[in-house]
Amino acid sequence: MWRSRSVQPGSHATRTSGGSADFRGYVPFLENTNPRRIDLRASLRTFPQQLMVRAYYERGAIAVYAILDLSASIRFSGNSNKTQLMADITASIAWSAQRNGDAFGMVACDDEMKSDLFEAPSYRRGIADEVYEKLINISSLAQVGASALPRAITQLRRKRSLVFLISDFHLDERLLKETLASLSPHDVVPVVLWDSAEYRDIPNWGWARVRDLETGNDQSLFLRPSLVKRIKESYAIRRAEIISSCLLAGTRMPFFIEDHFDVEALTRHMLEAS
Amino acid sequence: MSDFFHHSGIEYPLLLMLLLLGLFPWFVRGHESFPHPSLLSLPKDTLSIWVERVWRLLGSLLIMFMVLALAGIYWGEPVVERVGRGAHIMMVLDRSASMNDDFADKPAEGSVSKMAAARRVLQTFVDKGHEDLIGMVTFSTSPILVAPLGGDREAVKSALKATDAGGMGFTAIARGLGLALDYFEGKPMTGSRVVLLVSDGGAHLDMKTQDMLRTMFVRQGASLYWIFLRSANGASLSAPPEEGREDAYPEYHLHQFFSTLGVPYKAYEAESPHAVETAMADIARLKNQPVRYFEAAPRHNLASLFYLLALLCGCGLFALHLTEVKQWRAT
Repeated sequence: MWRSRSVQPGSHATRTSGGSADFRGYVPFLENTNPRRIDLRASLRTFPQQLMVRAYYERGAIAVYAILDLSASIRFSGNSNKTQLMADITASIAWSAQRNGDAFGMVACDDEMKSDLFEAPSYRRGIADEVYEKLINISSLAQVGASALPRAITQLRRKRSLVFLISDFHLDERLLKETLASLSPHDVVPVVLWDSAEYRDIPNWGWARVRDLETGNDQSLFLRPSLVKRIKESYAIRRAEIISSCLLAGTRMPFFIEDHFDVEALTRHMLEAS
Repeated sequence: MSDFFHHSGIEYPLLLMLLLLGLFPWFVRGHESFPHPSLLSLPKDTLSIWVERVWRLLGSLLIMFMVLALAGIYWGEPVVERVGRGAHIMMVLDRSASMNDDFADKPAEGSVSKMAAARRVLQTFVDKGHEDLIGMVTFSTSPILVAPLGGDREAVKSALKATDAGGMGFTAIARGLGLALDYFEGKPMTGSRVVLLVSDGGAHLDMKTQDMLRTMFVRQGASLYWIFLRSANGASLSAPPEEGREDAYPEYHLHQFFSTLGVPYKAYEAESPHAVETAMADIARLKNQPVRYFEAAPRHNLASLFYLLALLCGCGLFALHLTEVKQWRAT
């Protein structure tokens, strides 16, 4: 739990004194000359006798960011469409932030920063719809990676913000570490978009060629139960690696989404962490 | 294997340029593949890699086998070296009209013509001398090459059979001998050369012809055996004709000329079929130095084998095709 330094009224704990929500402590009357906050019992406990008043922290707004990994692998559509899924999640976050009185901003990158998709933090209504429209209409066929992710931090506010890092996390180890390290000033929630057709919902027998969406390389796979088992194991290992890398970098527990985005589950996930 | 490469050959070598097409399967891209977000997170699988390689290899082999088959690959030595102990024998057979007579002067019922006797004996001779190289020239008014000098016995025997048709015309001995000697020309001297002249009469040779024949005999180093089929009361080769009748006995003069050739010469006078056999047995007994000669061997066309191999490759490709995943779904 962290306290933002925001001055904008909102619903999150801040370091700004004032208001009446989060009790901070007792201060001498002269520090906070508000007669309505005089606490007689606290005043009687002092020696030499002086008047004490209750002090509170203000509730404030924070900035909520969505950092999107728009590498080519996001265009994968198996049992779900990851682009669609990403638009849904981002819109949902934007809507929640706006309804909660928080600012919502968006940074998207592939191998470069996507300035056309950049949204500075804003409180305006309708931002969710705007973001959704933008994301759903992305049409790019380029084979790009996500090497600009570590530079996304330059587009963020310097104040600690809540950052949703939405990606499929098919990044190489170094890029993932750099990205997570660069985001360490912020409260990061990794959202992992996976699809069951990547590793679980695959044929048991047969020869198939798979093409990497990012590099365009071909690989031959002679699928058989033992290989399918190894693929599943490899994904389980990958999942464990992602979790350990993220926790090591001080983010929140990664939230895995497979095929279907369940808003309730994300809410529960956020509540469990706080 | 090296033996195979040594003895195999290609009928149309230009078509081998098409072998380059065999590289095509190694470079072909763009076959149907399923997109995947990250191959890095998939395990490396050796069997899958080899399936892919075998697939490309089969395609490559299929093309190359087809090309080789089209180019007409064959196997077999073009010539086979044989070693024989026989002689090089050119048979020069007289087919003049007089050969139709029997050994008596007038043809009688049931008797054997000189031609038939000579034929029978020559046939057995051809059958026996398996290591001889035999050729044959017949002559009457002009010489005819029947079988060139070689190991092909069937040709000689067929030619002998063909003499059944009966003789005709005159006796042009010199031209027959000349043609026979021509066949030694340019051949390696790997065995003793024999000209076997079978005739029932002689002919006058003018000086020019005599000189020419002498030169040819000496140059080819061929020995001459003359089986003279003498009529019952014909002139002998050894007895000189009476004074003033020399022209009536060309055989005697021919014999004299042959004796002066400067090459080994022997004449056999045969008055009966039996005498012919004795003469032939004599010749067959002649000791000869070993003969080396080359014989054309038939090639084995390997095209069908290579088509079969290509078909097998095709079957392999088809089998791999059948295992291909059609739908990226758990079954």
